[in-house]
Amino acid sequence: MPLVELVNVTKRFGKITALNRINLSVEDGEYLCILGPTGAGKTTLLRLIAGLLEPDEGEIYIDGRKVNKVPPEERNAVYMFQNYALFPHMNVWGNVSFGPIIKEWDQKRINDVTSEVLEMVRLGERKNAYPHELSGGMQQRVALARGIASGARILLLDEPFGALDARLRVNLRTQLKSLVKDQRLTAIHVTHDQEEALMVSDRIAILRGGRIEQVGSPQEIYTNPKSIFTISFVGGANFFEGVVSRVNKFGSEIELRGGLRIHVSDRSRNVGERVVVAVRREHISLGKSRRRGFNNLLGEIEDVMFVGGSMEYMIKLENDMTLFSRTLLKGSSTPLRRGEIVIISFHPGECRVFEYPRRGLLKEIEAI
Amino acid sequence: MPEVRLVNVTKRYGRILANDHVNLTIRDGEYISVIGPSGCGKSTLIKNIAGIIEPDEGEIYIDGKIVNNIPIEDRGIGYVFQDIALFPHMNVWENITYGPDVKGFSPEETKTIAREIIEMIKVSARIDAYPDELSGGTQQKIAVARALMSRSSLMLLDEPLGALDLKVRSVLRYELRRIAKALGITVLHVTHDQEEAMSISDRIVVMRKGRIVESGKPLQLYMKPKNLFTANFVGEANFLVGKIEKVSEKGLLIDIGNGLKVFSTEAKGNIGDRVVVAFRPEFIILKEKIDENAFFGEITRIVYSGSLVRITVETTSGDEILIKNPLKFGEPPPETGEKLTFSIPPENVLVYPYPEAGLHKELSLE
Repeated sequence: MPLVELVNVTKRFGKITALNRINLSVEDGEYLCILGPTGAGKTTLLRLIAGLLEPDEGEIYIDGRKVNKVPPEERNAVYMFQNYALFPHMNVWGNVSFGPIIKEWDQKRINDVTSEVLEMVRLGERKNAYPHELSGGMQQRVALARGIASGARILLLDEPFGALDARLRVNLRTQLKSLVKDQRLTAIHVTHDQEEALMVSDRIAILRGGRIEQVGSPQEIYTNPKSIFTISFVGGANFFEGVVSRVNKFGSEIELRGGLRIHVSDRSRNVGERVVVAVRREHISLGKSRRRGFNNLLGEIEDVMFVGGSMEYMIKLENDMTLFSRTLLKGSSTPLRRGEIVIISFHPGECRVFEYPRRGLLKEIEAI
Repeated sequence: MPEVRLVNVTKRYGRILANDHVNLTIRDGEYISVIGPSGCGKSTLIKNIAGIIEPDEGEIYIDGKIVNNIPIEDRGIGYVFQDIALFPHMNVWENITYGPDVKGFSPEETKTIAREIIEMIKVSARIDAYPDELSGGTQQKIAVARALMSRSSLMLLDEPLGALDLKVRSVLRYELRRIAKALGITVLHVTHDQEEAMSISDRIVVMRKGRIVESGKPLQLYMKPKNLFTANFVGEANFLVGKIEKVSEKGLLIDIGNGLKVFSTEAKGNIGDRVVVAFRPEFIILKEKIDENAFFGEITRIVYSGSLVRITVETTSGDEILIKNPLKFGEPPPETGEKLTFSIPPENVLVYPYPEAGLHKELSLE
């Protein structure tokens, strides 16, 4: 039985449908990320589970019990948002023991639980410090400790690292995941950071415009995206518009604008169909010779960018299209230079073919 | 044209030294990013230059003139910060053409300049829209446009993309650079996002505890960071403690315990020195012909992060090493429990003196 289950949940704010018939279940002990752009309805979804909002339609179950009308404090779940909201006039100990005190546990139990949880987040030595004396990362851990000390088994995390330094986030997310797993908690974590979601989740739910676009393990989402939106939002890709010109037992041929033809392994489309072919940047290799069994195109390097551990190349193709290729920087490799003519190779098996979207390609992939 | 020079700039808040004798020259036309953990003083630095606060000690020069006592509006700078501050009751055109930044232009001049800028930031189609009809990314572009209206050739950007989605940020950052370079303006850009700094800057300044730790070109800072803190802050790295065993013209041989040795092409050090060895997870080579710097271990954890797989290995010496490797088409992914041989090229092994404060303190990101 799933620990948290949403059945046909709809939430409206005035004329806006923030969430539209959401079905989602989260297993006990699972770490689930809800990933999507601003305005997708991520926070609304989390607040519904927390009990801070009530759905207009549909049911929410926690531990098999319908909780639509159950107040937040009786849901066994704690909602944590980016601005940690610690009590500024209370020290770390006071903040963490707050829940147990309110629940009128006996003094020994309060002390035991508070110490244990503080050890868990490695803040035992800072129990007398006040929030303003702590770094952002530490404050976030105090907030986490407070949630766990109150007895909640379900952590509802709303952009928990939103306000922190990018490099620090990488460390903290790993620690948070270990904590959740070690303590056998269940986490539902909202983020717009695809790398964060890919690294910590057991499963990811992609949310877009109030609907769930796809649910799957990080690897499924990354290697088998079901829509142009998902591949564009998670990892990004190059997109080619074209028309299927041939289909045979090995795959299909797509004719691109400007007469270029590429081969894809996918053979599920019909000749004459208008399609979009997506190829991830890291699947495009650049070299001096043609690779057998690959698509090989000619292009010129227009720009070279260094992006945190990788080199990203912007390449102009013969048909004036722009392509991006990304290679993990290896210590010994010499980066290619602007102006160099290169052969661009990618494998037909790495090409994903999508139906041309009714509203146009740009609408599906634009970020701004 | 605008060259900014800071000489021994110091700013205190009570007992806290937010800027501690900062010396920095920003060259004309340069795009500089400032990074550092929260509380390192990067925002104080930009506020000192903007004239929002005044340094307690030291001098700030813009174009060779000392500006310590010159108020913000007379410093000739454009300033954009994280919280988008557009006038909600004005449309895009009015927001751009109204306000302190357009002082001193005739209405005709204002129109001409505004049209140019609107074209440049690609919002021509939206000039009649009101802020609440625009996405966060577009609103921030309008804020940049308004700052550009001053015709100032020095722009100070304090977390300009901080309030936006990552996906939007990764597009807009290139726009910022493109605009800066097209107009030939000098930019100082404060960010908490290392990748952002890496991808658009001519030079990056790393700050910590009120001081500049080091500055350099992005790639140089990544490949050959001059100190341990930078090595950890600008990207992930593995750190091992050891002792220099041999010094030759080819480099250093370092004993990292349990009979394991690592060779580095770095030149600085003496026999017997206690050192920290650092190398990046993506520079590690898997399953190739191993002659130098070979490690052997067992995979204890696998984490996929999209195009990469992060492999944690416990080596025979008991160290935990992180490896990042691309996922290749048709190759089976590694599994937990598998044994693994890998090596690290000597030219990618960085060597630092063991820090006085201890390794943990030195690497701390908080």
